[in-house]
Amino acid sequence: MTTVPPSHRKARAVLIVVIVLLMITAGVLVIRQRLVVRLVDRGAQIVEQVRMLAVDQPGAPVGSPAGRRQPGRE
Amino acid sequence: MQIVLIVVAVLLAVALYLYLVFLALVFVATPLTLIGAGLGGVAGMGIVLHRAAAVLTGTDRDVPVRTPAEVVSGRLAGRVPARFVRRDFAWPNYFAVQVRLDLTHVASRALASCRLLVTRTTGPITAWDPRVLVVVWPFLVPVVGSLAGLTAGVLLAVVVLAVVFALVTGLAWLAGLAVAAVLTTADRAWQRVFRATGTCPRCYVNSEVPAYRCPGSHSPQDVQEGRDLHRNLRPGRLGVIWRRCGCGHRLPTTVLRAARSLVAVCPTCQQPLHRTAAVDTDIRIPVFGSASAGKTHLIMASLVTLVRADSGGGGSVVAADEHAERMLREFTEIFDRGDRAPKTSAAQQPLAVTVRIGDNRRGALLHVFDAAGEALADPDENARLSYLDTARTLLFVLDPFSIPQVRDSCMAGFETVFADANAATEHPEVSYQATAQRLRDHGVDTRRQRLGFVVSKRDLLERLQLDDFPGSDSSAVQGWLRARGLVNLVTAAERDFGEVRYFLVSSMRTTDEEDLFAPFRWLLDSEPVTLPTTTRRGAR
Repeated sequence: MTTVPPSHRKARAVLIVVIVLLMITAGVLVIRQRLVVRLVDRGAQIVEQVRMLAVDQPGAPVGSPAGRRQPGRE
Repeated sequence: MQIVLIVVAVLLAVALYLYLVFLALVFVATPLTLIGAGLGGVAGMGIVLHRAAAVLTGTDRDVPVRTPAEVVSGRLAGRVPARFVRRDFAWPNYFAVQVRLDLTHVASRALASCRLLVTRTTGPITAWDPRVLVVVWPFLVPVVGSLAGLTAGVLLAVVVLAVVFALVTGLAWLAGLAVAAVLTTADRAWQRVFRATGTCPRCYVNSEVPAYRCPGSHSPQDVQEGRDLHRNLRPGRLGVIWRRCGCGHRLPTTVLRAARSLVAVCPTCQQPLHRTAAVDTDIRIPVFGSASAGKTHLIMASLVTLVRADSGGGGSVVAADEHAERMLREFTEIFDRGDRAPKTSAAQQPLAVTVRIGDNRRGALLHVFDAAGEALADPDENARLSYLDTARTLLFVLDPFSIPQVRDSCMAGFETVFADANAATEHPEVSYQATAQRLRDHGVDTRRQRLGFVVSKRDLLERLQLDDFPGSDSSAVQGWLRARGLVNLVTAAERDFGEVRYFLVSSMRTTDEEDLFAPFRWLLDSEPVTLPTTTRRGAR
């Protein structure tokens, strides 16, 4: 292993500081904007949409889960 | 009937299978894939961050490092001017190359980790029985999604990291270029204003940036290979304000700062230069003329006068090296005894006698070059006297006793004077043209040079009791030379050089200091240096 000069260590320390600052900024943004919550919500929506596409068939009997959202049936 | 039942059963089984797969995909695989992809992405970013932390904190010992030895062998981008031969043995600035190596290492390590995770996960699955795979494949979709998320996370983090590195590197380059420009401009401006360069008294090479020897510990092999020499200490990829030698010693980056603490050496012959070389004003005065014209005597008398003038006040004038110190001691003894200067050896390459004029803050190095008349007359010999090319001012010494008309008209009746004069035998024009031709042959623009035209041996000339004895005035000396048949020589000198001034001097001890030093004073008047005051004795 080659020992690097102090100037390299200082430059790397600068990069570490910049990366840490960016991570902190990103973390604050995630918390402030409730990004995790919104992502989870979005995921739940996707799951719900897939489920609806799969089981929500037109012409299903009234009262059945599939026919629940047919327009003009309620 | 039995066949029909079998077909119906198979169809029902297929339908049941498809229904179950459908349910698994919709209610299990989709949410799990989304969750897995998200977590995989986060994990991928974590891998990259972990690798970056290992590289940047130095815990990863396998990071490729661009070492000074590799820099010397040319593995650092950028053009190296031919005069610097190659890159110096020093650590490159981190943002010049190492930052790229670090980023590449982080990316390759993170991608390797990602690849390892993918192969370790998918490897066992590919070995499974196909019948099992047919049953459980919907439950493998989240695994694939997680791995895809992981890969995407790694790639995204590498891209973000590359952008961060690029931004920081860009800022570092901008700041570095600005600081380097300021330092280099200050260095060059100082040298331009004060006409500071480094002249080697031995090989006569004139360098704007001398080489500097690193005072750190270097192995004999390093020294032999010249790795302790830093040929271009100016700010650059090897350091902006400071540079780190391969031995670990920290060196300043500009000539102005390096001159304070480092030993300057000639980049060509590697002999030591003067301590303030390339910082002090550099004045080179070549003295030429025929053998026995009185060149050495003029130099001797002028330098002794200059050094003594210091004792009367003003800036100090001291020998700049051991050779000059020895020569000054000899000159002083000879001058005080009233003896003739010894004949300059034609066999040896002339070594400059250098004195430093000035104080601790700023001064000038005055190099006086005295070649034997025989060497100057020989085209093969004088071709080696490259100091003639770089001089701003030259001194031509003419022995009046070598002028044919003077000799013809005065020899009879003044034999003792001619014997004392030890007159030069060469015609003055021949000795002048030998050097002038040499300058032309080497492409020197002599119109930019000044010439001090010195008629020597004034004290002896006075003994001839000439009717038309010229005074000290330049035009009077010029007129006298013309009258004595040297029209061609005077015309040639005034045609060749930008400015010519004529002097008639005696270099004897009893001569007025002011008169004796007049040629040197005129040559030095145009230089940015404060000369000490010489006194007018009125002894003549």
